[in-house]
Amino acid sequence: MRHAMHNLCWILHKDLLTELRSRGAWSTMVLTGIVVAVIFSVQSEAAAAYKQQTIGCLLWMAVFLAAIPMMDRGFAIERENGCWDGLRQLPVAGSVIFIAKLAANVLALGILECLLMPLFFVLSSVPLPGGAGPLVLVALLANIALASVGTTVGCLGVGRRSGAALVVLVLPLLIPVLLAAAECTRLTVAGNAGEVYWRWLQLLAVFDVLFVAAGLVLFETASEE
Amino acid sequence: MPLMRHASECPVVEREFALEAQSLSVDYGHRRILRSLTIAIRPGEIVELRGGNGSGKTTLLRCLAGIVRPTLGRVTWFGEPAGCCTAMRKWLGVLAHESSLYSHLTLAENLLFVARVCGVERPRERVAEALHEIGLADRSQCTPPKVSRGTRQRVSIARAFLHGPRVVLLDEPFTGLDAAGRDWLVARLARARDEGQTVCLATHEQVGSLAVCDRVFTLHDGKFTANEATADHPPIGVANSKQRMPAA
Repeated sequence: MRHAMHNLCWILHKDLLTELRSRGAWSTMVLTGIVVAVIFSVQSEAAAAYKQQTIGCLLWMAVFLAAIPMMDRGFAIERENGCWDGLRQLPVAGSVIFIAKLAANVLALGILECLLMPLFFVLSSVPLPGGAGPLVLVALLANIALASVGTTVGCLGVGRRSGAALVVLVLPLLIPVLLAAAECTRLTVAGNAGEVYWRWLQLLAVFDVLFVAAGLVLFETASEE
Repeated sequence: MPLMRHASECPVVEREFALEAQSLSVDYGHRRILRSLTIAIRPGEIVELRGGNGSGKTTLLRCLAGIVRPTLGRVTWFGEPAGCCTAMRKWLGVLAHESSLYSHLTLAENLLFVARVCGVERPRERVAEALHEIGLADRSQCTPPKVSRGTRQRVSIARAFLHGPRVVLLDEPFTGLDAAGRDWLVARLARARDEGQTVCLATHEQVGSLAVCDRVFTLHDGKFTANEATADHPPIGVANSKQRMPAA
C-alpha cells in the first residue's frame, strides 16, 4: 500500500510537471472557460430572478465545455514517444495509474472552477446566500465524476491514434452528472440547500462511486493490446 | 549486486529459464504476426532476434515484455506467467522501438521518474551515475527534443538498465548510435552478461551485437527460420552458454 501511494505521488508529480511545462491543455481550458463565462454572463440581460434560475446550468455548461480539451490530455502525453508502453512496463498497478490520472484531472477542474465560479457570480451579479461551502461540495463531487469518465475514456483512446475522438463518448455519460450539479447549484443560489439539495448531492456521490469503480475495472482491460 | 536489489517484494525462485514463450501466436485483426513460436532463454544468456522489417521481432519482444497479450500460447518469466504480479515488472528493463521519454521532462527527470517508481535506492545518485556512464552528465538538464536521436537512444538504453533488472529486452538498440555508441553498447551488453543479466535484443543489423550474443534466432514472417532452429543453434531452450557467435 505504501509502495502504491509512493508510485501514485510520483506519477501525479510527473503529470503535473509535464502539464505546467507544456502550457497546452490547461491554458486552453482556462481561456475557454473564461470566454464562455463572459459570454453567458454579460450577454444575458435577463431579470435577476431568471439569472438565479439559470446560473447553475450555465456555470456547469461552461465547466464542461472548458474541460473537454483537458479530458484526453493526461493520456495524450503518454501517446507521445511511446511513453505509454514505457509506463506500463514499470512496476505500477493499472489502478494506481488510473487514480493518479484521475487526481490530476480533478485538480485541473478544481483550478478551473476557482477561476470560473467567482467570475460567473461577479459578472452576473447573483448573490450566494448560503456562502460558498455547499457549492464547493457540489464542485468536488461533480469534479470526481467528470474526471473519472474523462480518465476512463482517455485510457480507451491511449493505444489508438484517434484517441481524442473518443472524448465524444463522454457526452451522454455526463448528462446526469451535469444535471445534478446544475440543480444543486441552482438550489444553493436560491438559498434552498435543504432536502432536495442533499438528494441531488447523493445522486452525484452515487455517480462518483459508479464511475470510479467502472474506471478501475475497465482500465486494465482498456489499456491492453 | 544489482540483480537482487529489488527482489524483496516478489522473490525470484531460480528457474531453468528466465524467459519462456510456448506456442506463441499473435493476431492483429485478421493478420497473423507470430506463428506458434517457442523460445526459451536461460538466465545470463544474451539472445539476438534477427529479421527483416515486419518479421515479428518487435511483436515477439512486446509479448515477452508482457505488453502485448498473445492470441495463443503463453509467456513466463522465471516460470511465472508474465506480468501476473506488478512487482515482477521490476525484473524487466525494456527498450522499446520509441524512446519512451517524456518531451517536457529533462533527461535526468525522465530517468529519475523510472528510478523512483522502480524503488531504486538513492535515485538521484543512481541517475547521475547512469548519465555519467553514457557520457551525458553535462546534458542532464536538456529535454529529449533538444538532443540528437542517438543521444535519446543512449538515454533510453540507460533507462532499461537503470534499476538493475534481471532481464533486459532491447528493440533495435543500435538504431541511431554512432560507432562510439555501438562500441559502448556492446561493452554494456558484455557487462550485463558478466553481472548475470539475461538480454534479448531484436535487430535487423549484423553489427556489433554478434560478438556478445550466445544465440541468434532469425525470424521471417512470424516464424523462426528452419535452418537456425535446427542446424546452427542448439535445440530451443538448451543453449550452451559457452558457445559464442563469431564476430561479424
